[in-house]
Amino acid sequence: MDTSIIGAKDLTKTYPARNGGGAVEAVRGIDFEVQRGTCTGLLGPNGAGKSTTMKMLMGLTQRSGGTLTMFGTDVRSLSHEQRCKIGLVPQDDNLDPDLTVAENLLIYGMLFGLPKAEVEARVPALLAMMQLTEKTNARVNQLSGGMKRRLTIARALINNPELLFLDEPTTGLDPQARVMIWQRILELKKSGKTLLLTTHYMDEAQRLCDHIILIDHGTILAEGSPQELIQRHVKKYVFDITKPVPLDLPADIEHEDLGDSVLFYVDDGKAFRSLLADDVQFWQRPANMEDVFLKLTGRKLRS
Amino acid sequence: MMVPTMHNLHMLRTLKPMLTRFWWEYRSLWKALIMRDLLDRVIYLIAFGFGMGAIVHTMNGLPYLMFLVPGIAASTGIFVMTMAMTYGVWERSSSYKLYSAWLATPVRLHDILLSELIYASLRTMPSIIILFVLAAFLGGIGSWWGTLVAVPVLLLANVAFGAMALCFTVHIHRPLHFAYVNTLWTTPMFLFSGVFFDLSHAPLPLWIFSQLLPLTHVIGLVRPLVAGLPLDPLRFLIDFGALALIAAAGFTYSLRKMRQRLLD
Repeated sequence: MDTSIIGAKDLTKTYPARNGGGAVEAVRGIDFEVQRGTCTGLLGPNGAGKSTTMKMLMGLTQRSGGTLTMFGTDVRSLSHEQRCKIGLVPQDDNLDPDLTVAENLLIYGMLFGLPKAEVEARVPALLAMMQLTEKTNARVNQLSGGMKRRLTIARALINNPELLFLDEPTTGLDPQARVMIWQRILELKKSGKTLLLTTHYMDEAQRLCDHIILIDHGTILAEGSPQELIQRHVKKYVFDITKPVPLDLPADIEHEDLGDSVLFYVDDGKAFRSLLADDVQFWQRPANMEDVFLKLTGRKLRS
Repeated sequence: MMVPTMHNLHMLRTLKPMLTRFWWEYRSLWKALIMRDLLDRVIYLIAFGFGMGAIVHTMNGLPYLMFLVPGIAASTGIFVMTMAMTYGVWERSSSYKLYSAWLATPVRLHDILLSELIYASLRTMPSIIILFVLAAFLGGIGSWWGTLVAVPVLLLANVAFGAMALCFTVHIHRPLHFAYVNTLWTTPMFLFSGVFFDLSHAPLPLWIFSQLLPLTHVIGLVRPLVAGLPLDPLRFLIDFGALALIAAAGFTYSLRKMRQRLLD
């Protein structure tokens, strides 16, 4: 059985020139697959092409070239039933300000063609899961940012989707809310749903994703599980040495100057530590996705 | 034989919940909406009906109030529909980004725009009907049967006004530009479509201008109905057909433009 639920081949998107600006090549021929029951992370700096890819998947923008299939069907000709298997948590909390919290969920479920009674039966559990029960009859503008985010996630689950798109699900949330949302996402994964996630938080990607696709300038830079990517692109450990850095360190060790300290990437932590004199101030940590991300996309700021 | 059943079924299963969404919005706002739409009209009715009516007793052979009532009723749509299809649509599509939330479900853009139009056109009707009832007490209605026929005619006119406003909305990039709609569209239409005075004796350029305004023709349709005057069936059919055509063409055009804008 084919286990891939999404397949993109040579996928491109060029936004037409508009309002005096030139045409923008947002996605330049990418190939990827998303496997059933996994959480795949789409990572990249601002303007890398993540959101455009997400929009093409959701049918919210037309692709310019290549193929893009979902459930084995071209995304442009998905059936009503196939559309009903998809959920979206968009980057903005585009909740309906003219409706209450419960009504937001009810209507959204009905837009999927579900009978009102069936949706009504699902609402309390979703509100409880997102800790919003007390706000059932509140208006959206009475909710805090974290509550709005949770409601947006609950809304994306109202049709019990097989495939869930999460576009920066925890951006702008406090640590408590992030942890809570991570727990929910892991539960969803456990229940067999397929997740496609974009995020700017590398700890989040590392924690939640089985597979990561790193894109920049509209092309894929690297792909693999977080562990694979770390092994392939950076060393096992990072030593953050506060300046002044001892002069006797071997020059061939990969390192990077951060200003007031220098990062050294090494595989053998013990051996490297033995090179450091007692008075050197340093901090040793395992390498993580953030190191991979910065190494592959550079430290230059993006628009 | 036509085999539209599958398509129609699909259309209904996505249009119906969209309309339900608007109905729920109306459910929580109806008092405010009726008050807002109606009060404006009533103020004009009183100011002109009794202020101007004290000087001008008849217009075109009709008691002035009876001349005025169908005009003011017809102009309700121009104001309400234009507001709803410019600021309202902008708010939902661009400010709150609700369109992209809805489009992530099986709902398609035509479902959304069609329900916007249907909802706004329908919610204007209570104000128009209350206005007719008020006018009846004041003696501004000539024929009850005619007025009853005028109601669905005004509903179609609302759809047409809404579709025209949508054509403008799909070209706007900043909501500030909606101010032009008032100065260049609503206000001239309100003043030069024969709501308050007959323009058939106006200078020729002004008369021609008035004939180009859709509201002139809507008033041409409903004034004889409300006043109980004989109808010219041919003219009725032509004006009615023109309204239906404007509604269909405006909807088709704005749907295409909006699709390009949102989805390209």
